[in-house]
Amino acid sequence: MNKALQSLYKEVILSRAKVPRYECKAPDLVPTVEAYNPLCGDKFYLYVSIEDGVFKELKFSGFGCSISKASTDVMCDALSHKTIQEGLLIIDTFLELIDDKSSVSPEQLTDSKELLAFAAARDFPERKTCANLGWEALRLHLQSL
Amino acid sequence: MNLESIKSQFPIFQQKTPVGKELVYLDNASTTQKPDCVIDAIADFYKFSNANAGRGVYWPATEVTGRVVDIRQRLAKFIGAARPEEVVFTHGVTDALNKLALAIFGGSQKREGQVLVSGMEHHSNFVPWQMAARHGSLPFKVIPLTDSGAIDMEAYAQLLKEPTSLVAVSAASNVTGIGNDISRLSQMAHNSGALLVVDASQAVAHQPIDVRQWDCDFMVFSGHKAYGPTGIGVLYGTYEVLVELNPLAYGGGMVQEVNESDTTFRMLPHRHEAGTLNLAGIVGLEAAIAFIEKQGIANIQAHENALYELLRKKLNEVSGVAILGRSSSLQCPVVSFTVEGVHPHDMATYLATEGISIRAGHHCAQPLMKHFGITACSRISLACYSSGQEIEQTVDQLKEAIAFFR
Repeated sequence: MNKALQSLYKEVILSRAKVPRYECKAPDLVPTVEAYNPLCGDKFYLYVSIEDGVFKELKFSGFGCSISKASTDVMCDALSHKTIQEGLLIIDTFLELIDDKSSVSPEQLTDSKELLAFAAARDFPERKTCANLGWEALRLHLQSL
Repeated sequence: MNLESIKSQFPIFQQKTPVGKELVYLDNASTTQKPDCVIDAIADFYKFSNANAGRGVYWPATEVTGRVVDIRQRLAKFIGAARPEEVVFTHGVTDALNKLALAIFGGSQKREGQVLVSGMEHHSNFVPWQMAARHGSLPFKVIPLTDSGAIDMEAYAQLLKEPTSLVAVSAASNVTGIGNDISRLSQMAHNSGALLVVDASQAVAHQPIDVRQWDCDFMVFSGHKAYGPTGIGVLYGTYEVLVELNPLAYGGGMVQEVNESDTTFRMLPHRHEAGTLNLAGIVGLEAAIAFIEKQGIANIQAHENALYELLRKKLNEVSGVAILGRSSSLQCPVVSFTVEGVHPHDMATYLATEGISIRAGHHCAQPLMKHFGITACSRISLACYSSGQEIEQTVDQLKEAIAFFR
């Protein structure tokens, strides 16, 4: 296996994609947000409960590649028990972290190993829409609240 | 066919990919690579004979005008058309089908009867008809497919019992490669008084096209899927239908006389060709057709069929691989598949880092994905420069990818 692949598919991503912690297989809940990539057909449903401006619980279901699934799973983790404002800042940080046009290095943006695992998406711009799928959808939703 | 000689004519293969690998290009259903003769023809056109066609009385305009006439004739022969006026230049299949749908259903000619498309269609041969039917308040129905992904001919016959204005089908699927018996589909459509439109995008580089044998009313293809440039395509229509059809577009070059109160239009094919043609594209398309004819379409077909069988055999040997669809004949060299536990995009990225280009996604055929109960799949599509060694290498890497992701 070559280095480029190793950098993109870090252990965090592979393990999160194989065994996501926040995926619910047969949800009875009504989805809060639909994250859909019309170019490839990947789709996640996000179930977000917010109480008093704080994320109480985040879950997701749906179909996507390793990167989109792992990043959505990490997002649920990163936002749990945060306020909406804190959540929006984390989302912005993550989106810049995977942005190949950013002049700020990923390490300057965060020290979270979970988030930094996706930094190699900068070298795979065609996979950016996988990495940001759940994040962009949730940001849009939060901004509309 | 001398594979080495063929591949040496494609400059893209003379370099390494950014990751230092040989390019194994297996996304030919999306677009084919371009041989030197096509690239040179386009460059030479701009260098030595650029002018507009059908307008100027000076050289090089006269030369270009003559070339377009000659190329139209050559293309008519290539697709088996009776007359060169039946060949209309377009910007490609999507452009052609959108304009055609509007011309057939959008003008003053009111049509009656449902519009049928097959369940295997690319979105470009699906959505324009769906929208045209909606605007014309006509029923729009999808011809069901069998479990193997072929058109269900009994269901088609049943649907044709209702008044039908138009049937749109592809010559071959861009996902499964399954080919359709166009002559039979055409005969059944015509018996019901419907027009038949054929999208030959996937077929044109892989099998002979004979519009008179097919007896279709319209046929479209894009140059870029047949070793030609992007932005150029052909719309064939029978003279009788084209001459009655509302112009595909309006503008310069297609008018007879313009008055404040009305405009009259030129004869075929100019009636349907508004504005300056993609002349460099036309010249490039001619070079592409010449390239195909030089190899011999029968030779290309035999070579690709052998590779297609090898690819299916090799994929079938891999645990967890499920190939979509299969019909007994009329296949184009396209194989799509799913891999248990591995998402198509992860597979495509893995192979890309080995210099292997395959496609992942829904391939602009969401109705077909739904038929197979999937969201996306991987696709390998071959061309005349593909080799058995490339197939072996790809399947070996595919096995490595499965081990990596599972």
